[in-house]
Amino acid sequence: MGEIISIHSFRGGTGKSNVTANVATQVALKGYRVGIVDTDIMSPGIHVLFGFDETRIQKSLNDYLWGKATIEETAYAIHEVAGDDPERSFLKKTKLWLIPSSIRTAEIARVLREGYDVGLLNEGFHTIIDDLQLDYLFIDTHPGLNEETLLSIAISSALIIILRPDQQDFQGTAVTVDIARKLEVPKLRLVINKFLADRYDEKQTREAISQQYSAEIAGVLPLSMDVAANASANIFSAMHPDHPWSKAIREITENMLG
Amino acid sequence: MTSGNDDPLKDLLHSARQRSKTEPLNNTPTDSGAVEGAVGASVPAVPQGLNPLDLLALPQAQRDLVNWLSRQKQATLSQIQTALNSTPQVTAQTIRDLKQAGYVREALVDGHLNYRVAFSGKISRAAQNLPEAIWSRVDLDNSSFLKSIPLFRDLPPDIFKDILGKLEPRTYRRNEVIMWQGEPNTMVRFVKSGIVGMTHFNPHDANKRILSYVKQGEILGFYALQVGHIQSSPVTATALSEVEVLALKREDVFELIEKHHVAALALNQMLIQRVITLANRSDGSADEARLALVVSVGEGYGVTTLGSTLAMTLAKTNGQPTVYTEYPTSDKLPALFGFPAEEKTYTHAGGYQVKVLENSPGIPPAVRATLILDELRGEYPNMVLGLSGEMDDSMSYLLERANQIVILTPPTPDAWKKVSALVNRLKNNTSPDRTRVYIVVNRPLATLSGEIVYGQADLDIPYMDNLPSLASHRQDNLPPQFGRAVQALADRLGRTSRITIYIPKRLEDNPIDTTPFVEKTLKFLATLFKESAAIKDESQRMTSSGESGIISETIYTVRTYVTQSELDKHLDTVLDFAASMKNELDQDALAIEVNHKFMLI
Repeated sequence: MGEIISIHSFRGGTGKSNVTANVATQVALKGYRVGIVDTDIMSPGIHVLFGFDETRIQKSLNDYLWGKATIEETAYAIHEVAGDDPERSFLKKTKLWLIPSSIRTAEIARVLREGYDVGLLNEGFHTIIDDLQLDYLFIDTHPGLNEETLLSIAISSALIIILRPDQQDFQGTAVTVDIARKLEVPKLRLVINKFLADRYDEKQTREAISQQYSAEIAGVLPLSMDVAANASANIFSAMHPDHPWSKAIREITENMLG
Repeated sequence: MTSGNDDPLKDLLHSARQRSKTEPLNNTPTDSGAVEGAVGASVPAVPQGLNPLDLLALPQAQRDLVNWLSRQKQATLSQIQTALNSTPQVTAQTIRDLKQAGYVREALVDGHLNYRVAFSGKISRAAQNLPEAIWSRVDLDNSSFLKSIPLFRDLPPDIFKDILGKLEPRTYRRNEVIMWQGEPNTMVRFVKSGIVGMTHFNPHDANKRILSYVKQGEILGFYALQVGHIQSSPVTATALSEVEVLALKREDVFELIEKHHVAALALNQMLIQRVITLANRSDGSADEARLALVVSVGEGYGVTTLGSTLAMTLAKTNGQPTVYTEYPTSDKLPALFGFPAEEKTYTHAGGYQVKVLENSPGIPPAVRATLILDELRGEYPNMVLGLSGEMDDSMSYLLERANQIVILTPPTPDAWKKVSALVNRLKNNTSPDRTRVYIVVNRPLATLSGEIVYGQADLDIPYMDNLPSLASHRQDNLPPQFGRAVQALADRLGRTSRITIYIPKRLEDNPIDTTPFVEKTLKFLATLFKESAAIKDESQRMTSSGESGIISETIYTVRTYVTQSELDKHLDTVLDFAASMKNELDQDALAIEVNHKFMLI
């Protein structure tokens, strides 16, 4: 049975979707069958990194949650769709599927208004793993803690918590780590993003944070103007494999697969 | 490690509890600080499932089990026990506690009992602050449904509102067990949507028999209504599709029927109907009996011709002894078929027998009907009875046991009025699960050949001036159109269950060509039920759309007639097909009808 890996952050703006897309792609480039679910229904975004826009998303996770589609119908084979773009030809080598959330205003508003059933979400995760014979399913969660993020943590065999070196992130991450411990997530890893490499010592920071949370650090992603300039337009680690940021992504990937 | 707060989860859980208070008809956590369903805590009557926020407050043993099981799709008891390295007793007890709390559900997968974590809870980030008007719309939905159930239909408004507040909703995924046989049953459940299969589960027999289906608007678990001790359920109820039920405690139902006689009478009617349906199914005769009745709305419309031809076709098709006779009197048959009046049984060259019934003076007509049918059943697997004269009470026994009733009518307005009256009358004597009624237009006179049909007929036989006599008719000398019509009736005899799938042809505000979907459905049904033809039809209906007001909708209906055992065996597959069709058509719902019961997929 495939494994579920959730990527979470207590606060928004940590680069969660970017890290999810890059790590998932690196795992897929290793030959694994990989799925990504964007459960950040309130503010979806990971589809952008794979070159998707409103015109290409016919059915989304929202349709599944409202009973208008099967979960399989909402899964887009990225290796087939995005592979036509020369800038994304690396995706042709993968077996990678994306289940996007809707970016239509009315459908986001409907979630705000009516909510959805988390039980159905859980069933969808298991069904898509079976149907697409996935080795790994990555869940790009909504920031913070609520029913949906707790569900994702509860059913995941691995959890990546992303934090920035920021006091607000530190406190919130403590809550998430505490919950993950209670839910006995088999593999709990922290990823430090937007690290000021020219100002702090990476090794010392790793040790301090690892000790504070009693959790292993899967990788430290430096704050990079190159990544910022990419503006989530593509999978940076695949486009610039020799960049320090990309190397850190591969370190995280190895750690998660190890 | 701390986060600056002694219990960082406290606020989070508190907010979840506060939130669920605002959700209508939701009864998960309590105010006590404990999670209902945890060992030693009070247990909700109809558990909703585990809100992920409440997972954190479970007792350790339960949390350990849920923590492992929630990372599987489902698992058997032995798999759980192995994973937790626990004893069978402890594992079973923990499962029982979780099941009682509604956090774990049982599912029958390929005949094996599995357990699943049942998560529930709505993501409602903004919805907790929704205005009352929105919530009342949710309530209205349940209210409309409840109004459709006879038990509640005529209640005073304040009582109705009170009942509405007591209903506890719950949804089940496919294969999930709603109610086990042998379990004490304290709730009465009303099926709001979906279809439930009632089976007698036997772990040594994968081919468990479906005793009945409970569909939208029907009661599930009426055994709970036995006064006195709490009755165990004699059957296992399993969700065959996604099922939504509204449950009411038995005490609440008792209170209702004690105070309101109108509700007691309505409940009585519902239960009687259920008993009749179960009795019809459990006697097992539905698939074996082949009793066709041919009746007309006047003299000279071809009862004997059609009835005897049907008998000949059945004999040829099934290769079994087949009889044709007429009730209450069959005295004219010798003259019509050309055999001596003293002969009571005449073997027709077409392969069937014509029987002259004893008049049995002195025996009450109703008793005579039972004796005749029992005698014929012992000798003939296929029986066709022409009913002559006015329909009277003595015919009730025959009507109730018929698999097929063919109403013959000429295409005239007056005759059609009589057909409508007859169909209404037959509703009192027949069960849709057992008997199919067909309306056949016949044109015995040349003057009727061009007449328009005033209602919806199943078959239309043209005027025939070259019909062979009854004595000489054979399969190979029948006019082709007549032969085909009778063959269609013969094919459907025994196929007493009707499945209809409704496919929109075109919506006025969104024109789509659905012909390929109709063809696909025809092909699917023909493949699944090999010996039964699937038929398509087209009709117009008006429907109310929330966005567009009243709209006209043209509908394709694709229907087929199947035996009870075929229905039991393949209903799951049909529901799967309907669900995939709904998605392909991008519809919110697709209508399917089984024996006159509509359900939305």
